[in-house]
Amino acid sequence: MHMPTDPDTYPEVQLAKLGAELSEVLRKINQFAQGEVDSIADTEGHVYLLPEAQAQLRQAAAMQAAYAKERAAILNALPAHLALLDNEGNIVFVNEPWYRYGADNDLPDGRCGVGQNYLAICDAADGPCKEDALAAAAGIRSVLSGQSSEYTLDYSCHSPEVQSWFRLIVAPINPTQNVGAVVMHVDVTEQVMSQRRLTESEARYRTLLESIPHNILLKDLDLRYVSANDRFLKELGIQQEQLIGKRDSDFFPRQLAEKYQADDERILQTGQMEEFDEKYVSNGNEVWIHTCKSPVLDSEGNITGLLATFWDISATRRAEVSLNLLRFLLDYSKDAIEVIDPQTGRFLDANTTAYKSLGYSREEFLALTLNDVNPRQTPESFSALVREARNPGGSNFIYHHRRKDGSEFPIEKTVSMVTLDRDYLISTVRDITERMRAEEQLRMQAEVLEATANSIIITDKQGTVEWANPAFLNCTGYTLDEVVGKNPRDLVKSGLHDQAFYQQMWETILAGFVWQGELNNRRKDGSIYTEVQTITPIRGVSGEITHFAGIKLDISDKKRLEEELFQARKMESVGRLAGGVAHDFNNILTVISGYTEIVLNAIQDDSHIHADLIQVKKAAERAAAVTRQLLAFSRKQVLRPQVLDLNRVLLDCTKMLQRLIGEDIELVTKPADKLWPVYADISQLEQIMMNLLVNARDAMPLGGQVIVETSNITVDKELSERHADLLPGIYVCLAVSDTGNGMDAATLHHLFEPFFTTKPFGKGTGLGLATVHGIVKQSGGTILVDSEIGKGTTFKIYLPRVLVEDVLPHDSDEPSEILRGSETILLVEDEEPLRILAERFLTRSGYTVISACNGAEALQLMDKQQGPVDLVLTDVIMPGMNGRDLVRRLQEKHPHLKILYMSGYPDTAKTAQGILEKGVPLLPKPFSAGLLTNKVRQVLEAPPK
Amino acid sequence: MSSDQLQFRLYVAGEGPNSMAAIANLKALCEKYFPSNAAVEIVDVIKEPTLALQDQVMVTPLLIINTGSTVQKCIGDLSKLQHILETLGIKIEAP
Repeated sequence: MHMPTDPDTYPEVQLAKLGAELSEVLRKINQFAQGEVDSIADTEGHVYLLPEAQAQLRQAAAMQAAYAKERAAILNALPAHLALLDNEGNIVFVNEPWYRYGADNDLPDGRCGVGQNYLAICDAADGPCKEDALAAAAGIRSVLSGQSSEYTLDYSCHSPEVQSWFRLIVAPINPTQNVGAVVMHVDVTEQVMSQRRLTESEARYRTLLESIPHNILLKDLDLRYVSANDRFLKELGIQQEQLIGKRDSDFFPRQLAEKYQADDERILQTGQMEEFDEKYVSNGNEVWIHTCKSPVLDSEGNITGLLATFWDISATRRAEVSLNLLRFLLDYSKDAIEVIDPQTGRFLDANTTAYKSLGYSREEFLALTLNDVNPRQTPESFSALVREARNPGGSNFIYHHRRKDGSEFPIEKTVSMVTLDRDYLISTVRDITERMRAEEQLRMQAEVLEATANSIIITDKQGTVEWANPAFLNCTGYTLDEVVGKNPRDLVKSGLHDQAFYQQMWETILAGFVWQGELNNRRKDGSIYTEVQTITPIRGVSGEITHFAGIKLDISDKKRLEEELFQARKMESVGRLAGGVAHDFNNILTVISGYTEIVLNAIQDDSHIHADLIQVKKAAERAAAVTRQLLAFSRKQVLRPQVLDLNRVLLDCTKMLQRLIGEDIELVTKPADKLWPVYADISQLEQIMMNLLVNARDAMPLGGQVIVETSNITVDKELSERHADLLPGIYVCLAVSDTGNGMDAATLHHLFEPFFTTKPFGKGTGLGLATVHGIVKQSGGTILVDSEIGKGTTFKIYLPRVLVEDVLPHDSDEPSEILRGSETILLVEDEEPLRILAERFLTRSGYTVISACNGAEALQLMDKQQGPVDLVLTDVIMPGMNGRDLVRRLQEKHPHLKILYMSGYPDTAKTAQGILEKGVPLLPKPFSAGLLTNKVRQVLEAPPK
Repeated sequence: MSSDQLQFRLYVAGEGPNSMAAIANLKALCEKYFPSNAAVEIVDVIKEPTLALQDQVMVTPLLIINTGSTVQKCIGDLSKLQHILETLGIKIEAP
């Protein structure tokens, strides 16, 4: 500065002057500018701040310093590491944390301190942080240049011990001016870690959510979807984003959505979790869904939403149903099913049948062992059972089971072993009582079929024989092998029926009806037999005819019996006819021979008339013999039976018989020992023998042998059934066998018919065997013939055995002497010639005779009669009043009247007609004078009753 | 006169109180009436004395208003700027 010499020019004075001028200038400037000016410039470009502005600026600078101090304190208090950069990137300020971080991390002193260029530091960075550092530098530059309003970078900065994360935040200090930037490093390790933990937790939660095989969904209080797992999304076929915020009504049919909503609202309202099983129909299939819905609570316990999980339990449900069904089936099985512990035999389980069939309750039963129900079980048998059960397919046993009440029944047990968590013995028990019964019945039926006398064959539908019973084989003569597989028509068809017959038979049975009829079939040996056959169609399970059963009854015997019966009846009627004829004939013969006798007595013996009359009398006697034969055949002959030894009779007449049959024929007699007696007429027995031997002789023209045999025979029911006439009883048998020609069936058929003869005309009467037959029948016996062509003939005569006390005494032989008397006799006889003859016989013998031709006349005569009547001689069979009735009428007035009946029917007294009482005197016709007078005398002299 | 060509250049002296007031008043007016069609430039004479010398700026705060056709100078804290602009015939109205 330049110093003046003048005082006024003294520098201080000059400066003071200048200062005063300056003050004046300032005053003027202020005055001029009214205080609104801060600076003045001179022409050289010097700017002068006015004092007011300077004061203001100083105050502002002080404030700024205070502000900077305050700012530094604030920045130091921040947790972030903070630095301020100028727009060149130079660090102009660092806060305390920044500084401390550098110090703590042993950064070279001042490395990141004020004065350093942060960009340069970043650009120079090396190592793992290089990329982050370069990115940071670029970011800072863009902020410093005003290109970016902010820049952030997250980076990690890990030390071996600690993992650290930082966030770099760069912001301009003044957004409108490029005056620098704030650089902050914020430690976000905790934030990153917690974020990472959150993410991991969410991932875990998500994984959990997705790995649960259920549909899971979350709704808010508005029932809008918040989240759901993939399974549910997949089910709906949408993405998570499409779900969120939606409601059920957006996805489901209205009805279903409303139901879901009602459930949800209830749960939100009650706050209670609910679980339920429901059935839905999906694509026509039944689906069972188990749903669990629960409210979602926040930490305060407020309901914030709803969590629903649901899953398809159809399979479980089906399994349950099928398990229940199985149980049901098992329980209702008719077979008992038991699960048994193979170690102890204890029942572990059983179906209803198992315990009910034994009378136990389930609890009772499950406390038992197999031992308790199987009375015969031993430890050994149980071991065997267990062993057998291990066989593949199990094993069967037949046992008995015992009920609770102690009763036993047969069972079939099937055991098998099942290994699940352990071994189980599974036992199926079937009550086989019925089966056993049925088997027994079948066995019996089979036996009956085998044993029955009826022939049975079973054929298939074509008629091919599948089985035949022994009766069939016996009957036909075939063996089983010969008939099986054959058709009956090839076996037994006789050819005796025409085609129409068989056709009708087949039509009937093929139509499903039973055919019954008589068949003539042929045996294996060619003989024919008659059978009644019933052919029944047998239907199979499906109802179709599969077989035919033919049940055959050989009725040959029955047929023969029928024939015999028919024959016997024929003989009976012929006999009755012959008897009637013989009766009339007897009356005539009585008259002829009576008058002949009278005439013979009246004329000289040397008269030629006498000789002629003798011939008449002989002829009458021969005629009487024929009549007797007729009567014998018709069993109306008067018998004089007595107790006889047949052997004795045989012995007595052997000589006579031998003479009868001639020398060419040998007579062999075989009398049985201790032969029982018979009650018979000896002369008739002789006649039987004679007739039979004559027939035998005639059958053996070239000679032979005749065997006459006697034997004791007991006829049982079986023998009796084979012969219609032979009743069961005890008989003495007389058998006459020859070795002659024998007879054919036709001859046998007519054998006993009267007037049937095989002999040449004139040689036989045809009455021989008819007479024999009549005698035997009259004697209560039976005659059988056994004959075969070429093998001879055997006649067997069965006479009933008699006990001696059965025999009644019998009149002696016919007297020839005429006894006289003088009594009065009432004679009643309808046959006039006979009446006159009898009257003559009696009057000649000294009696007084009153004759009547019938009962009525007899009663009249009796009333007119003055003197006494000693005897009534009356015929039995008369027109009008019969003899018995007449006698009854007469005896009403004359109780002591003696009676003698006459009859041409010699067995009248024995007939069931009951005309005469037993023991009443009877005179058989024809009679001689001697017989009549003797009988009359006998009755008259008998003591009165 | 079209306000599109309106240019304001305000010379201030550091952070002197009148300068600061002038800046605030100018900005307020511009934001109010010329948000888009006025160019505003603020020049600190202490930092850029050369530009002030060219424009012969003797005092601060001083506002140079260039309407494109005329150039006017206005000294002071610009508290009466609206009145000044109306006086100058610059149409002022809210957009």
